[in-house]
Amino acid sequence: MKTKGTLVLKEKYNYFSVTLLYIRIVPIAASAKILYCFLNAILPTMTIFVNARFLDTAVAVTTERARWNDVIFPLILVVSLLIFKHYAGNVTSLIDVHGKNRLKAVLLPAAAERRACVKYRYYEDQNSLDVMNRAMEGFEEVPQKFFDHAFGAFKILAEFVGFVTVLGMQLWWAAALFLVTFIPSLVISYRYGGKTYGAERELSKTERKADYLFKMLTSRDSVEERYLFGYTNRMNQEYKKNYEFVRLARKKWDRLWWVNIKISGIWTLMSGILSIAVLIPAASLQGGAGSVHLSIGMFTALVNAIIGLCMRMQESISDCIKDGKEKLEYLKDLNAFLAFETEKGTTTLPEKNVPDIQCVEFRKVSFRYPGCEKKILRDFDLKLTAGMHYAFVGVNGAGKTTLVKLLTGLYDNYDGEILINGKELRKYPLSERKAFFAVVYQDYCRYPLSLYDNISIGDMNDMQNEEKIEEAVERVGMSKAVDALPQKMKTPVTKVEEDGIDLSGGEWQKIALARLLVNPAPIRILDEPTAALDPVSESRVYEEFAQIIGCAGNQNNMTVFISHRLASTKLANEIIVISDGVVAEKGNFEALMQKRGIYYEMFESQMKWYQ
Amino acid sequence: MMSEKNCEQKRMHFFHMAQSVYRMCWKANPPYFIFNHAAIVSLGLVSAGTVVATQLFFDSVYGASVGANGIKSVIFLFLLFIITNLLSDVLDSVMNYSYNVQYMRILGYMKQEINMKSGEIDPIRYEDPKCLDNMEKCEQGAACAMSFYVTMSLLAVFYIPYFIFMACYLHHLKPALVLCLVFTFIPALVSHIFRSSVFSELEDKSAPLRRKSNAYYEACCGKDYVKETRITGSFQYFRQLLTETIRTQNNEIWKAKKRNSTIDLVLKTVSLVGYGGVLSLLIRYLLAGDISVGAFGAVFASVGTLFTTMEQMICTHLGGLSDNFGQICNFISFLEIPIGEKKEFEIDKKQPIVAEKVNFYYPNTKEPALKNINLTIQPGEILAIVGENGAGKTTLARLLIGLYQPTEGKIRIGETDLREVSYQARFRNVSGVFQRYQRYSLSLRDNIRISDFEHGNDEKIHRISMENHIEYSNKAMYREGLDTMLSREFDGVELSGGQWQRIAIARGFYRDSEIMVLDEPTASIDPIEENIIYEKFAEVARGKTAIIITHRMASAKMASKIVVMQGGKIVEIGNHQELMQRKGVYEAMYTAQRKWYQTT
Repeated sequence: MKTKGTLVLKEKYNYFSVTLLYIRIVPIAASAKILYCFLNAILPTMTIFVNARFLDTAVAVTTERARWNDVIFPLILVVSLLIFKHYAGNVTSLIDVHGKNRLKAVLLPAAAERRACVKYRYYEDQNSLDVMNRAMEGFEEVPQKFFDHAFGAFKILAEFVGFVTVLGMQLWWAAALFLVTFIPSLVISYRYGGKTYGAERELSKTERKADYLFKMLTSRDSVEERYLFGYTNRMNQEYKKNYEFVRLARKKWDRLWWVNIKISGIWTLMSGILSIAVLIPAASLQGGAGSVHLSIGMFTALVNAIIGLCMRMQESISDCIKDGKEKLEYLKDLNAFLAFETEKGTTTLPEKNVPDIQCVEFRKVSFRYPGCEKKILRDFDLKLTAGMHYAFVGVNGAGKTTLVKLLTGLYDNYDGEILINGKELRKYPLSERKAFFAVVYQDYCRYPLSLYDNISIGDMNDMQNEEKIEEAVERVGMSKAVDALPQKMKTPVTKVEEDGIDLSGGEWQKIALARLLVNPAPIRILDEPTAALDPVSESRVYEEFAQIIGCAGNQNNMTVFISHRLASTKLANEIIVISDGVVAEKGNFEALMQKRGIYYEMFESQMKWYQ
Repeated sequence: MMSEKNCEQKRMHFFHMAQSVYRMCWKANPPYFIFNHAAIVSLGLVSAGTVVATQLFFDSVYGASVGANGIKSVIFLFLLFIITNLLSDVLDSVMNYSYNVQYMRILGYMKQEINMKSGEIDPIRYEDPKCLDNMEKCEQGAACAMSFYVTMSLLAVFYIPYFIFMACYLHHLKPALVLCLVFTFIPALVSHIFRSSVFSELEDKSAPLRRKSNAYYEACCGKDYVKETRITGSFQYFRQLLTETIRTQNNEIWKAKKRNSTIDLVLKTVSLVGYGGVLSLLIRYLLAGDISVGAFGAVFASVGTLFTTMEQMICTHLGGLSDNFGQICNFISFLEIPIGEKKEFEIDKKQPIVAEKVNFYYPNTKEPALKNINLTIQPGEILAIVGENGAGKTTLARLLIGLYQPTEGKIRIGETDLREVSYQARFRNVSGVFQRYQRYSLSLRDNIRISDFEHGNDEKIHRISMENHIEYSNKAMYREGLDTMLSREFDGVELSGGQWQRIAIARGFYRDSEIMVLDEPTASIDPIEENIIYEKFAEVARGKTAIIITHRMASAKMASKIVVMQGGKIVEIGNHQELMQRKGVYEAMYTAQRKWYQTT
């Protein structure tokens, strides 16, 4: 391991390399567990001998073949085994907690890093997202589970071998009989142990559907429609239908599974009983009559051991196999995720030196989202220059937001060129690209931090600059509100922290804007951060934004407002109307109104209410 | 006034809780209920029988070896030994299997009960964070109730009989051996009490830490954060926070674990000493000839089982029980929320809707959301409610259709006080399109006809779809026409906000209505789309009583009456011309908005 907490995940894992991961991260815990596992495996065998000796001596004392003192040593042995059994569990659970803690400290950050590095497109594809979630959910416990499984299997085997050996030492044909009769039950266990219901995919879909209906019938979100439209009864029937379908299918499968596992279990028990049967003559015939004599102590110990072993075996074997097959399934997801394409520099800070901006140019840019037929941008041409304030407008789905995604490097598989200061965007390292842009997204983040940090995160290279943050708070008009907060700027503003407070949507918007203000990047983009507002409030917000940012006139900056609402666009130096992936119209407000094109039509449709 | 909506959790009597849970379990499926209990009882009997059979078998083998009895009795007792062992093994499985079956069955039944109740209770409860929180926990509560049921049944018909039997058996052998039970019982109980107190303390401490580390992890790489975290380059910052939180969390866990281990160590020593004591007692009896060799062997073997069974009963079952108490209580209380006697009859909706001196408070608030509202809406009238965000527009509309009840004053339709009739009666012939309209993961057909599955037909759905420009014959968008599933999650198609909006409107129009509510949709629509909606609405609302909530003064023009709201009060009422002439609030707002749409 290099420095602490910098584990880098490999490209591919198999059963053994995951198990090894555990040993690598927590070597001491792993060796202690291996030792324990080994001791535990021979424990049942030792118990047979110790108990047999103890019983025999006790019996001998009663028949006065031995003295009272002779029983003390066997008793000590019995008690020491008990002590081991008693306390070992305690120690191992302590070791386990240590291991779990360490694993979490190493693996959780590593998992976060790996997730953060994959290309953005995986985040927008539901299937990839599912794979990622399945692979990474609880990842910090995975190596331990693999390790436990591997050594659990080892323990079963060792216990089995140990027992058969002891039995063989007493009566070799009893051991042989046990082995031979045991095999078929192993076969059944193996065949059914990991078998999953064939139509599981279909079932889990129906199950999700039932869960969905449950949510629909109980959530706050749907209260109005649920009461008004009165669909509770009807939809509850639907819920019942889905739920029962899944339940009955599973029940049928469960029954089959239980029956088979039980058959194998009874078989195991029978083969144990058969071995007991052959032991009986050796034990019950009076001493010296047969070639082999079994003491009553050994007989009792063996019988107890056989019954115990058979009971344990029938469950643990099928569980172990089932578990193993699930683990292999999981590895598929893990490797699928690890095969996701990653991108260098996603986790780095923006470049410290703020770059100059002269122009941004799109040249014949075409783009379609992975898995989509339709091109969202078609030979898109546009040149933006510094010192201007632009507004992108267009109906939903016209491609406005896609432009931002391309600019900020979330997608880079476009055709054509995007040039910043004449240089292709993709040729800039990500850290430099980050330094160009400050964006307020439609769904800007409400980070689980204090108010201060929620703003200072806008400029990662200068987080400690309190003066700058205060100035930004002042400019967005939040100073008064901040003064009223219990811990002023240091107040946590999400419910993640116990003393966190709730802010209103409007206040969050101001925070998002302040975050933009502290960001020194020269290109500022507002991607409909006001979508949840009514159109009139939105216009007001944009007006304020425009004033605060002071967009026009600064030769080093460029501002882009994106909206499908029109009032705010009047403020822009140039309005760019995007329709079907191309620039349909371009010009200032007056020019576009005179043109009587798309923009005019859209504006008109809102305007006519006011005439 | 708000007393009946009090969501403070009441302490519930244990027997009341047990009774309610058992009643549900019985109702869900009586045959299984009987079957399951029968299986548990037999398992208990057979388990005890196994101990006796083992003893007799060992005795006979020993007897045969010293020549005290013949081989015949050995064979007979061996058979008994086989049968009891096999039987207990099979019964154990049957019990587990039938438990699984019953578990799912009852859980389904309980969830259906929750569903039904969620549609009957006073909707205002959903606005009370505490109530809402309790409601959201009901699902877990149902699962807890299920495990409560299982535990109680196991205790009553398995564990207690088993221990009583063992006590009798041991007492029969030698009265002092009953001490075995005491030695197993007390340490297990004490250890459990300590452990659960340490853990609940740990849980109190680590729950916020866990919440934090989850939140930081999400901020690092969660879907909702990844865009912004990338562009701001804040990943490393969040990873640092994550690492630190995990470290603190681990410290807490380790400390608690160490304390627990120490307690465990002490108690295990106690029970070990007890175990040793029992062993030496056994030896003394054996040596003195008070008990047989077989009994010695059998007790020796079963003391271990006794220990594990006791630990299982106390730690797993009883422990879980007390942890779940609150949850079950919450669940049962939810199902027992009184609905009250509500009249079920037709109200003629072609009568005026009248609000008289209405005051309204949201739960746990001191400031009224609506103050002294007096309003009459004539049948066939279009009423527009305008005002700023938070002025109380939506709340008023909810009261007018009877979704909420006024805290003071009353709302009536004609002469009928809405408070006195059932929700069904209130909402018959009332329809609406809400701001929080739903995007149901159902087929397109069901999305439209959700208010009425019985009476509609495809013809009506077709007509309404066409009127609202839902072109479901366009196979590129709606792959299977009306049967197209509308959600990616269930292998359906994904729609844009605008398309969903149209469906929500079609849904509102599909329902036959005399009264119509339109709460202005704000998000996801472009201006052209928005226009279409308003024109459509004006057309459909003709001849009906309509309530339109809008931020846009201009769209209020089509109303025959405009209500201007400010801070929960009605400040102006009148039609557009009247209000413009008055030069009050309405006129000011209107002018302010108009300025955005002046071309010069």
